[in-house]
Amino acid sequence: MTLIVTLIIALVLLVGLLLAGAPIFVAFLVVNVTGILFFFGPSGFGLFANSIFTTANTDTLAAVPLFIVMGELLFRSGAMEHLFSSLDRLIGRVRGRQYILCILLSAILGALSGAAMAVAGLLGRSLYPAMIKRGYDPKLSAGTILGGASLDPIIPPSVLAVILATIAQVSTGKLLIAGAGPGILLTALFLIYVMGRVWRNPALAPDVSQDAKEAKGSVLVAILQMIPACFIFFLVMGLVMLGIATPTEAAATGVFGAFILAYFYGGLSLRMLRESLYTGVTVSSLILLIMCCAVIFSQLLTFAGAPQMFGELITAMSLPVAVMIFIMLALPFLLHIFLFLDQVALLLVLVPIYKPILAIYQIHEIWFFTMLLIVATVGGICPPFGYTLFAMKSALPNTSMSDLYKAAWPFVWIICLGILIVALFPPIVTFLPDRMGQ
Amino acid sequence: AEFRVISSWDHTYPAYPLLLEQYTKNVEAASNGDIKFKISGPETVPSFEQLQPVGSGVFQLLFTHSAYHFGNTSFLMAVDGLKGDVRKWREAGLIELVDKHYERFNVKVIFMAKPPENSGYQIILRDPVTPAHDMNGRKIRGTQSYAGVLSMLGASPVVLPGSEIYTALEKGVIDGAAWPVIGVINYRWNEVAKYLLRPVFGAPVHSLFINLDTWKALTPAEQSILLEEGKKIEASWEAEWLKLMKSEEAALIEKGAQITMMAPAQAEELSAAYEKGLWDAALKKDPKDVADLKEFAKKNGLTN
Amino acid sequence: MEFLRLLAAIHDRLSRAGFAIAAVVLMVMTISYCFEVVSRYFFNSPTIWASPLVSYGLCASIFLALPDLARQGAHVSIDLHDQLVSPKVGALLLTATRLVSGFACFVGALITGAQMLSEYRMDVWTNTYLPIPKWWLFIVISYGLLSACLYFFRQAFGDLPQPSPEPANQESMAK
Ligand code: NA
Ligand code: NA
Repeated sequence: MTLIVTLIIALVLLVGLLLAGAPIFVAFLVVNVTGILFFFGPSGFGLFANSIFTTANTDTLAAVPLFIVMGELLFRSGAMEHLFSSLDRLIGRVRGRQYILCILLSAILGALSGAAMAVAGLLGRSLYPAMIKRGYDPKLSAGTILGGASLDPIIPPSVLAVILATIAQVSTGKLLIAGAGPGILLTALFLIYVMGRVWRNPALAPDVSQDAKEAKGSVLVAILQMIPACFIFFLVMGLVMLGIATPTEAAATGVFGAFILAYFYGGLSLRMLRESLYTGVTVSSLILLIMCCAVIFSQLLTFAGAPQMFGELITAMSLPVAVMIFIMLALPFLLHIFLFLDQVALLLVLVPIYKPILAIYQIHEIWFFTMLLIVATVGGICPPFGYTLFAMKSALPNTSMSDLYKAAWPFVWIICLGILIVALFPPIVTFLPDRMGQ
Repeated sequence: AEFRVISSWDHTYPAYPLLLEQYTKNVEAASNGDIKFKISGPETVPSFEQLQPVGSGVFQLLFTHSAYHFGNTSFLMAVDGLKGDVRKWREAGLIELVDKHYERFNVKVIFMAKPPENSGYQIILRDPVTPAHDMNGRKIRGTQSYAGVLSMLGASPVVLPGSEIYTALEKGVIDGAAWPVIGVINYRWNEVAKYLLRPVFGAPVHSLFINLDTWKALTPAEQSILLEEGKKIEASWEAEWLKLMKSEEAALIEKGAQITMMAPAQAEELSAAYEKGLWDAALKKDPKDVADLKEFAKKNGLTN
Repeated sequence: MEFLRLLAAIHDRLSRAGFAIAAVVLMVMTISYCFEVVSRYFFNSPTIWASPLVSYGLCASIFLALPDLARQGAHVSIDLHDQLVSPKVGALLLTATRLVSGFACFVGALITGAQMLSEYRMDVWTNTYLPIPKWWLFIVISYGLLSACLYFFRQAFGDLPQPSPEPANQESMAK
C-alpha cells in the first residue's frame, strides 16, 4: 500500500510541476531526485548520475537526431516540391483530389521523415493556402493535413518509435517496421473517409475541371521523379529489413542519402546543411534530455517492487485480456486529454508499469507497443494539447484554435477505429516484423 | 537483517536460480532466517553500472562477472585466466589479493564460483565453419573477455547488451555471439543461430561481492555463515556447471542445433589466445595491480 | 554591473559555441556510421570503434546543446498560463518554475559533477572496445546542467541582456 501512496505522490508532483509550466526534464529531475532521497538517501545519487550517463550513451537513441536531420535535409532540398508535382500528375481527375493528394503526400513524407511536427508545419504553410484558394472546405482541408501529419510517427522511420522501443526494451528495428502496416491502413481509412465525405457532399470539393488544366508533363517523368525518394526509403528501412544495418546505422545512411538527394535537386548549400543539423540537435537534445532524466524513474519502480505489486493486483482482478488492453490504451488517451500530459512523458511513466502486465497476459509486445505508439500519436492532434496542432496553428495564424479542434476530431476517431482494426487483426502489425531478415 | 542484492543477469540465465538463489536460500536456512535477501536485476540497475551502487551502499551485495565492470577494473578479469580450482586459489591467498584490490571500490568478495577449465564459453554462429567460409571478418558479439579468442579467429568483436542479441542474430547484424555454455537455450538464441562452435574455452568466474561497511557491521557468526556457504557452493559449482552444460547441449541438439568445429590450428591455439587476450586487456587497464597479480600467479603455479 | 554583463556575454558565447560543436559532432556520428556500413557490407571488415564513438557523440551533443537551448527558453513544457491564470499569476508562476528549474539543474550538475570526480579518482573507463575515461563525458554532462542552471536563474532574475538573434537557429525553432 505504501508503494501505491508513494507512486501517487510522485505522479501528483510530476503533473503539478508540468502544469505549473516547468520544462518536462526538470519535472522528472525533481521527482527522481526526491525518489532517490526517499529510497536510498544521498548515496543513491551515483546511481542517478550513471543512469543519465547510460541513457545519453545509448547507441540506438542516436537514431533520433539522425532521423530528424534526414527529414530536415529532404524538406529543405526542394524534394517535397518534386514529390508534390509527381503525385499531382499521377492522381486522376477525381473530385476532392487535393484531399487525396494531401493524404498520399503525407504518407510519403512520413516514410521520409521521423517527426510529425515538421510535416504539419510544412503542409500547413504550403498546401493549405492552395487548397483554400481552389475552393476546398477549410475544415476538412485542415483535418486532412492534421490526420496526414499524424501518419508520420507511425510510418517508419519514426523518432517516437525509437524512443518507445528504447523505453520498452524491445527491438527498435521491429517496432519501426511494425508501423508500416498500420500506417498503410490509416492512409486507406483517411482516403475512404474524405472520399465518402466528398461523395455525400460535393460542395466540400470544387469541380476538378479547373485542376485538370494544371496537370503537366508525362506520367513516366512523374514516376521517375519518385524514384529518388524510394531510394532514400530503401537506404533507411530497406537496410534494416534486409539486416544490412541496425536502425541507427540506417539513420546515418539515410542522412547521407538525403544529402545526395539534396545535391541532385540542387537544394544543397552550406546554410541548409547547417540549419538541418541545428534542428536535429535542438529537437533531439530536448527529447533525449527528458529521457536522460526520466529513465531512473522506471529503475526506482522496479526497485520498489512495482512489477510484483501490479502483477498481484492484475492477477487478483483477473480481467479479460481484451479489457486489460483497452484500459492500457485508453489510459494515456485520457491522461492526455485531462492532464495535458506530453506523449513522451506519458510513455516514460506508463511503459515500465505496463511491461509486467504484458508478461502476465502474454501479450505480443511489438503488437501492443505499436498500438500504444498510435495512441501516443493521436495525442499530437488530439485537443486540447498537441504538438502537431500547435505546429499547424503556428503555420496558420489566421485560423482559430477551436476551428482546428473541430477539424481534428473526425481524424482522431478514425485513428481510434484504426487501432480497433489493428487490435482485431494483429497480423497487420506483426506480419512484417515477424519476417524480418529471412 | 535483509540485504539488497543486485544481479547482472535476470532469472533467465541459469546461474541466477542455481547459484545466486541457491546460495541465498542456503544462507537463510543456515542463519535460521536471520539473514534474508531481496534480489534485483539489470532492469533496476544496468549490468555495466552495478559496482558503484554496491560500493556506495545502495545495494549490499553484487552478483556479477568481472567483464561487466571492466571499465572500473580489469583485475578480476585477469583472474578468469588463472589455472586451478577456487580451493587452490584460496590456499594460495588469491582471495585476499582480490579483496585488497577491491577495497578501493568499498567491496569484498564472498564467493568466486568457477566452472572447470575450458568449459566456460562458446560461440554460437548463424553459419557453420567451412573451408570456404572461415571465421575471418565475421561479426561476433562479445565483451572484453573474448577479445583474445575473437582476434585469433579473425572475427570482429561487437559489444551488445544481452537483450539485443536475439534480433541482431536474426537480422544478421552479427554473425554470431560469444556467451557462456549455459543460457543460450533459455534466451532462445538457437532459433536464430543454430551452429555451436567447438571446442569451448575459458571459465567465467561468477562472483558475489559485499559492501565493506555492511561486512564490517556483521557479527563474526554472520560473517562466517556467509563465507562458509560461499565455500560450499564454490565446491559444488564445477559439477553443477558440467551437468548444466551437458544437458543444455543435448537439449540444443535435440532442437536442431549442430556442432561446427574450429580449424585444428585455431583449436590448438585457443586456450593460449584466450589467456593472452585477458592479460593484454587487463594489463592495459590496470598495469600495476595486474602485473603484481601475474607475478603472484607465476609464483603459485596458477599461470604458465 | 559592467562586469556581470561581460560574464553574461562570455556565458552566451560559450553556449553558442557548444551548440555549434554539437552540430559538428552530429555530422561526425553520421560519417562514422556510414563508414561502418560500407566497410562492413562491402569490405567485410567491420570497425570496432564506430558504435562506441556514436554513443559518446550522442552524449556530448545532448549536453553541449543544452545551455543554448536553455538560453533560448526552448524547452518542451506545457504552456497553459494564458488560458488558465491571470497574467499576474502567470508571471509569478513563470518566475517560480524558473527558480525550481535552476535549482533542479544545479542539483543535477552537483550529482553528475560528484560522479565525475569519483570516476576520475578511480580511473573508471567506459566498457566498450573504444574505452575512454568516463569523466571526459561526465564533465560535459555536468557542464551542460550547470550552464542551464545559470540561464534559468538569469531568466528568473530578469537581468538577461537581449540575446543576439541568430537567424538560422530561430528559423529552425519555428518548425
Ligand atoms: Na515517418
Ligand atoms: Na515518423
